[in-house]
Amino acid sequence: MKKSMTKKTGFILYPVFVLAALSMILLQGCEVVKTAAKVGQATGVLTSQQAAGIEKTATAVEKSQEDITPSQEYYIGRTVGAVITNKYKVYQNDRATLYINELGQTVATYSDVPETFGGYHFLILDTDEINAFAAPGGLIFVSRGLLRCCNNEDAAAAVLAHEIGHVQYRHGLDAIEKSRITDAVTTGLLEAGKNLTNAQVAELTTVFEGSIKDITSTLINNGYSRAFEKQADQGAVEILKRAGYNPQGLIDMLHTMDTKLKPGGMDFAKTHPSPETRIESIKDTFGAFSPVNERLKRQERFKRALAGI
Amino acid sequence: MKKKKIIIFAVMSAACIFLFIALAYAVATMSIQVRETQIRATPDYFGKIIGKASYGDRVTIEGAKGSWKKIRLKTGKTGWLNSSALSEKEIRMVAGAKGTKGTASASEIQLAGKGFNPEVEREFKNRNKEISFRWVDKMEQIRISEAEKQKFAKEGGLSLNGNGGRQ
Repeated sequence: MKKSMTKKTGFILYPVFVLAALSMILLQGCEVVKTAAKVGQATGVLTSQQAAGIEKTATAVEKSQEDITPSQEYYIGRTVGAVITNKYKVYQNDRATLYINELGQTVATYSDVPETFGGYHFLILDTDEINAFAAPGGLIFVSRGLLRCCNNEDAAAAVLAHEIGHVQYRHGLDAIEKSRITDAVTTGLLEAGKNLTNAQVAELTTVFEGSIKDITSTLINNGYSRAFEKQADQGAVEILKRAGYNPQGLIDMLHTMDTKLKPGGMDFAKTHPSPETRIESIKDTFGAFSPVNERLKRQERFKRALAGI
Repeated sequence: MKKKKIIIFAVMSAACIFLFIALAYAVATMSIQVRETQIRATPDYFGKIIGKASYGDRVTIEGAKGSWKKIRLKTGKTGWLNSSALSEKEIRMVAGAKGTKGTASASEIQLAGKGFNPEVEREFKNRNKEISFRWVDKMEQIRISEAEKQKFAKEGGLSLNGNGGRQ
């Protein structure tokens, strides 16, 4: 009698906990969900298998999203940026650099992540390669070759918005081998408020070095997946629309890029889907837009800053 | 039978109250997760700046609009911050320490505390002396002020709602 009563009570309470857990997923973070799963299990409302399932899902989400905080992302991004600026020469033209920062930092305001730990900053790389790199946290590098694919400010905004897209979706961090971060979490190296010994700092720096290699080899040699490139293009279209730029600027830029890319090149020819593929995958996402109307003021400042690029 | 119903009701109520309290507590306070952010009088980037908040500061959430949160500082001052500057997690701070920079000092190392931080960067630099951070340090100094961004947007005929981010 007692057993069946407990069973019935559990049966009635089960949906309450499931609903509560689901609403927690929507409204909060993973911690409470995990706690709810544990409470559910302890009170006998959830079986250990069900509780473990909820907890595992919550932990997996947390792994990719939260183990690396924005301040850690910032330090990763700085080092990725250092590796890039050691591989490529920086284009030293104050007017062009200022313009690309005015444009990029303004455009970032309209992104899903307008604020990062250290903010968005842009540099031009002195190379004919058609290339761009977004380091985690918002350090963004575009080549002279890529800027030459832009005929107007809307197109240049599209290039930067695509890179901002990679930052807002944290694609760089995704390139880090999962086991590195998991191991660092398991051994407590990434724990908050912990004073590390010299040996632990050394160990953590090895994890850091590995993470930097994962990211830079993805950015420079292998490229992201097509899915990530598509997501960054779609993010760019959304940012452009919010800002008041014509998303057609992205298509225009890709058309020009298509005429300039050399097969076998070590740049976007290697690391990105073809411009044609990219156009195909986004052209239906923003409805009908008339060709970019080269607004006088935009065109004036664009030409003034990037004429000699 | 009646007693059983009362027990069920009591347990269900207790569970709901517990969960709601947990929920209310969790969303009531948040931490600043960026180095520094500006507090606005209205929920938009082109709104008047009325104050600043720094990494690790705790704020009370009093409302939300789109991607913005209405916050109250410990001083009692209220204003708006973009959600991208806020984290639900508490950021452990060393008393009196403020701001983090690219180069490491003792207080900054204590401040950052967690994982990849200036201390790790310093160790990385020791191991990889050929990698210069000169350009990274330089590019971080390029900051376009809010007024300049606003001018740039206005001049170029961009959207001036300044809501920033997903709405």
